[in-house]
Amino acid sequence: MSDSEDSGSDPEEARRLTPPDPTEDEQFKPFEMVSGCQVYTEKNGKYLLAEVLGSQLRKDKTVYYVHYVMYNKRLDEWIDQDKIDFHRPVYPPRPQEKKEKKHKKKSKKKSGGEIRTKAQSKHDSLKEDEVDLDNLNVQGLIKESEKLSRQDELEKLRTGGSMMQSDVHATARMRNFNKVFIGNHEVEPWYFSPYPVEYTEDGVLYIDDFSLQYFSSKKQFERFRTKSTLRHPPGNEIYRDDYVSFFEIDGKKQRTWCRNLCLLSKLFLDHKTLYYDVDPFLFYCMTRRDEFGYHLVGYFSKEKESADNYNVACILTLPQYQRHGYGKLLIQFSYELSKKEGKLGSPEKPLSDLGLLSYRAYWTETIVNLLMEGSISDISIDEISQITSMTTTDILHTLQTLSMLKYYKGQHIICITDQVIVAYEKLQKKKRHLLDPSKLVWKPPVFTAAQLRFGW
Amino acid sequence: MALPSTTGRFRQRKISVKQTLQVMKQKDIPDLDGEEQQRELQHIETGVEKGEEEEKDLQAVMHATDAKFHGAKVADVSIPIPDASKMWVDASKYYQTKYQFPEDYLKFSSTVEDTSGCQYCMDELDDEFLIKYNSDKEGDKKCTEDEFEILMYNMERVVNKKQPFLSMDPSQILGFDEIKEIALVPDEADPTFIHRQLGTQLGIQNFRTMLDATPKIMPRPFRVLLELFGADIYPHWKGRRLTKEGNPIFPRLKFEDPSQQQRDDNDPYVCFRRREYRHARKTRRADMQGVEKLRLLDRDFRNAKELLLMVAQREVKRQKEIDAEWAVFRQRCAIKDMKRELGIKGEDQDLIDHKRRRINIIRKVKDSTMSERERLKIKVRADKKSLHKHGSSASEGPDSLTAQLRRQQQKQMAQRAGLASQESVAPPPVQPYVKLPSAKIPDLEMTTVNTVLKDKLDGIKKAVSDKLIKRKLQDEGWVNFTDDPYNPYFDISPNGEELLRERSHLPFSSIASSTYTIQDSRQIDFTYVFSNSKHYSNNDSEIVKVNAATGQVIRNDRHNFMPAFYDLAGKDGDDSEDYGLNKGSAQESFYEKNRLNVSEVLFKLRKRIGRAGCQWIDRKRITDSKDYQKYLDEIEDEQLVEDEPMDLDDESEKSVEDIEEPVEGTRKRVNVYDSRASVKRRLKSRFMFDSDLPAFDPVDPSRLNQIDPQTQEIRFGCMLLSKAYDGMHQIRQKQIEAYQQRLIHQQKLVQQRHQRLHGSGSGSGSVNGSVNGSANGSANGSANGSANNSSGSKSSNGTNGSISAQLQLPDNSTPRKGKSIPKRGVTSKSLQSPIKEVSKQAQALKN
Repeated sequence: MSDSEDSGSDPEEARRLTPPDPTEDEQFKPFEMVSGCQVYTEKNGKYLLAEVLGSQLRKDKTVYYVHYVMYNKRLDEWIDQDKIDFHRPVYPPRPQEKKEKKHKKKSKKKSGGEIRTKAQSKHDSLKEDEVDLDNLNVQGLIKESEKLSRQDELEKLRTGGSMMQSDVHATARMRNFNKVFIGNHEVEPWYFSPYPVEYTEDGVLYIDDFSLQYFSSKKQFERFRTKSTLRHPPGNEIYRDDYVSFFEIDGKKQRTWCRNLCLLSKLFLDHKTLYYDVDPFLFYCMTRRDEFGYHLVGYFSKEKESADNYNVACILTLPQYQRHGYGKLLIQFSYELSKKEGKLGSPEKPLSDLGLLSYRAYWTETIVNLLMEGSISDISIDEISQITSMTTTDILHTLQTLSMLKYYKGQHIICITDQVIVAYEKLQKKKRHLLDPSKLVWKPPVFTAAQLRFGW
Repeated sequence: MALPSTTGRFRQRKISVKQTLQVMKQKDIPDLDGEEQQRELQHIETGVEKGEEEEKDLQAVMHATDAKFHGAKVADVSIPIPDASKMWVDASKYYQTKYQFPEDYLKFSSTVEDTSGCQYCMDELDDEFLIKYNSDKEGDKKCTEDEFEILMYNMERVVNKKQPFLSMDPSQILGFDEIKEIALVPDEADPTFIHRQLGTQLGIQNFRTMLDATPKIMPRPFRVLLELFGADIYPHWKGRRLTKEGNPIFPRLKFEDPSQQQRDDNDPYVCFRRREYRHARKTRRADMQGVEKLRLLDRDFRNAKELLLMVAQREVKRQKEIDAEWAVFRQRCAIKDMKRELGIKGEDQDLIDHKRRRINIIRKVKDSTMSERERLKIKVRADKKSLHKHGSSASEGPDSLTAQLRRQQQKQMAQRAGLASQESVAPPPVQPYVKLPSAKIPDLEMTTVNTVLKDKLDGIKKAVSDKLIKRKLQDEGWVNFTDDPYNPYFDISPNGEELLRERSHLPFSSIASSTYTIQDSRQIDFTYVFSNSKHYSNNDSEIVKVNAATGQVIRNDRHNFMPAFYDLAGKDGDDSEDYGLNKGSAQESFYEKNRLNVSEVLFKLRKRIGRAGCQWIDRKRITDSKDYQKYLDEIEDEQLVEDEPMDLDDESEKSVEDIEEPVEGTRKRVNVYDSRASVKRRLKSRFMFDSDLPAFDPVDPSRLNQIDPQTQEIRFGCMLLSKAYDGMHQIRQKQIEAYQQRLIHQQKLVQQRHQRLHGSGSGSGSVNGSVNGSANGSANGSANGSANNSSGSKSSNGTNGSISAQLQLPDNSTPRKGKSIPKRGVTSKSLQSPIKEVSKQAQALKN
């Protein structure tokens, strides 16, 4: 999100992170809060700067949806009004210059050169643009109001449209479901997901563990369960050991299922985009078996044809299965596929925070294992890359974070530090499950040019 | 190499990925350079978004790991995530059916829709309604949930299809009768359509697949349901639909609105947009290919569907059979018990399975639309089975059967076996059909004009060679002594026009002189055939042996029927080589000898003016000059007995006939005083020294250029298409026209002079008349009966016509003084050479 990017670089905003001392009097009234303003809120005894994204009336009490600045969005939450510190200042939303520009660009695209010439006459042209774009209206006003006094500004905002006005960007930033029942788990979603907007009324979703069909009505879910016979991801099993199974699913052939999967994973992936359809992707789904069938644990998607040589597009272990080492299996599997293809691969960027940590862990383990087990005396980065299917960049990155690349007697060496040895020994003791490449029964799918054209 | 600079800063030391790095353990290198010399290499991006990278939790974890690998002791930190550990206790209510795991890796291609039955799932509101609706009903009158869903689904389906824009004006919603009417029409887009169709085709009520769950109570057919509950449920459905303002009862994902020009980027609920892509250039070729592919696919799928349907039908039959058998078995058990109870003994025959009569299904199968191959397979299998069955059953008949029965049966079986064996002996009336594996079936390529032409040519070639082979088979045992019996008949008659043209002006071209073989077999020298069988087999002289005495072919290789001449591609290297060899061999080539140059002048014409200004045109053959010479010689030798006056015409006529059966007369002394002989001699000398036409030296251009005649023919063909030929043709045309103009002009001059001299022109004798008698045998040697070659004579009409036409001009002029005739002037110069040639030939003969 561009907002957080700005907040990081802005020294003024960096200063805000340390809360100033509270004053005797209340500095602002609840109605003065608008969408995008920043206030100090109490969380676990500490006061944190939070951006207010929305409000709602629940049983005569107003609750606010806040995003804690410098924390991941998955920690965003609804808070009561009493958590907000009115004795500390409120910061009005920053001018949305970036978005303004974006919209301008779009309007230019829309109506060609006409707008461009008008744009030079600033004010008037802006207003003309605004007529067309609903959401731009407010933002444009905000920009104008910068010159006005704060009081006026707030008043204007309040009358011009409450903070619940349909700001799309705010909508997409707010989690739209509170609870998801999937299999025998009850999971709290992390992010927004574009399930039908009507379902958000209840904020509860029942998701079938096998077909991933979603319902907000329990009766519907029950009816569906009696009729559905699917007990596994609807594709071919390409790997099976006594711990997990992997399925390969073509987005083009299993559109419904893959869409369901994407909607579900969007609940837990911030950067996933559902903008485009699932056709250009293959989905590799990791499942665990029990007497009822194959239960989805995690998956990664992969472009059928990646221009940037990514071997993973999105990767997710469902939250109920996280912290059990499944992520590493998924990553390992993605590299096993790359090895079969004879290609180097890297995950698509940007990585999420958890993604980066998981990948780093896998890269570290793979490289350290390689260096320690083979008792190799010398090796080039390229060779490591050929063996592991990891890109040289990723290898360098890992070696660097492990501070294993040293400069010794006029040349670079790979230095296995004592800490690395300690970490390696610790890992050896852990006895984690690893995939057996010989159990992978898979041939890289080949697509014709026509099959890779994904339009209507 | 980077050196530490005074500022303590380093230049970036690049590290190459190809460079081999030593791997060392830290403890092995205690003298590792100081910490400051180890500086960061180029910074590598983490891949996390900038803003997120700075998030406090991530930073904390990264610092912790960093510190850990730098030797510091830190507590484990992790990124906090929302709680996901709660279990849903109710889940077991919904997940009950156990799953049978496959032994091998699972393969699956059905979709979610395939496996989830009716696409309408009732919710709480529906449930409420249904409970209320069923509350005052009993038994069959109750509507089950499944049935309710089927009805709701179909109502939704019909309206979604027929009124996709119902939300614009919900009041337009269809009434129940309309829905009923439409819903009962089978709709191929409806996923349940296939179910219904298969159900009716196979005669299975409540058709279910393996992907369908087994409901406790089977829902009744839709038609029945519509009658029973449709009218009652319709208001409920309509109410629900209207509360949604005409939109589908259950919300769907928001997709892109294709009617909108602009992408709806602002609505975060719009998802799964179609990608824009550059459309492949539409070409006729691509279109055709696409259509063709679709056509093939359609056909394949139809075939596959048909086969599968038949398999299904067979299985249904089998099921019925098993059911019947089971019923019989149970009945027998009952009877057995009954018998035991009643103490009846014997009459057990009905309780034993007799050998079932094999039903001859072959006939049936034949009638059905199975593929040939399939049919054959089944037949073979059936035959084998029956044979096997009979064999085994005959040897070990059931004990319970009486001997008589057994004998009878054996007899029957023997009969049947005989029948079966007969059937199996008779060759199956099927075309050999080799089925390629699907992978090997080539994609149909676009047919180009070239391939079509090539196919056509190949077809022609094949037809010709087939014909030839047929002919050869017919002619087996006969020796055809003609040069090539399969050559088309060429009527080599000279074009009259050509005769009077001046050949010396002709450019040297293959058109002017392409060679043909003479079609008159009587003039062919057969010595070659007998001495060299090469002619019959173009490859190996040993393959064909002809018994010269009986004319029977002793050995004949059927595969070598194709004569060399028919190698249309013209790349018959062997033959041309042979040709060359034969040429050089002592035995003169058969071809060489009998070759005739078409454009050679076949006869010479001479015009002379006899007494009383009568015009004569004499004709003399050139090609047969040798024979003619002989004839003339013979005449000299002959003792003439006949008294009848010898007409010039008769003589020439006779000469032709004589040639047909050359007689080796013994030489006799010439009667010098015989007037007739002197007449002949005069005739001979006349031809010797007087010729109208220039001698045409038939030098074959191909020979001149030292190329093979076959090659020459190809060149000829090419030339016809070339511009050079056109140009040449035009030039020639112009030359001819110019010449004609000149002639006309000169004639006019002559006429004028003539008129001045005589006052009025008096033509003496018609052209035809003047030509009379001088036609000495036609070109093709088939001159018959009347030597009078007047117009309307049977042979070579065209030639005659053109000759007379040509002669019109000089006739009209009727010049007195030979010198003043321009034609003569032109041609007289070249008269010397043919005369010389003739005399030479005569000399050669005498030698």
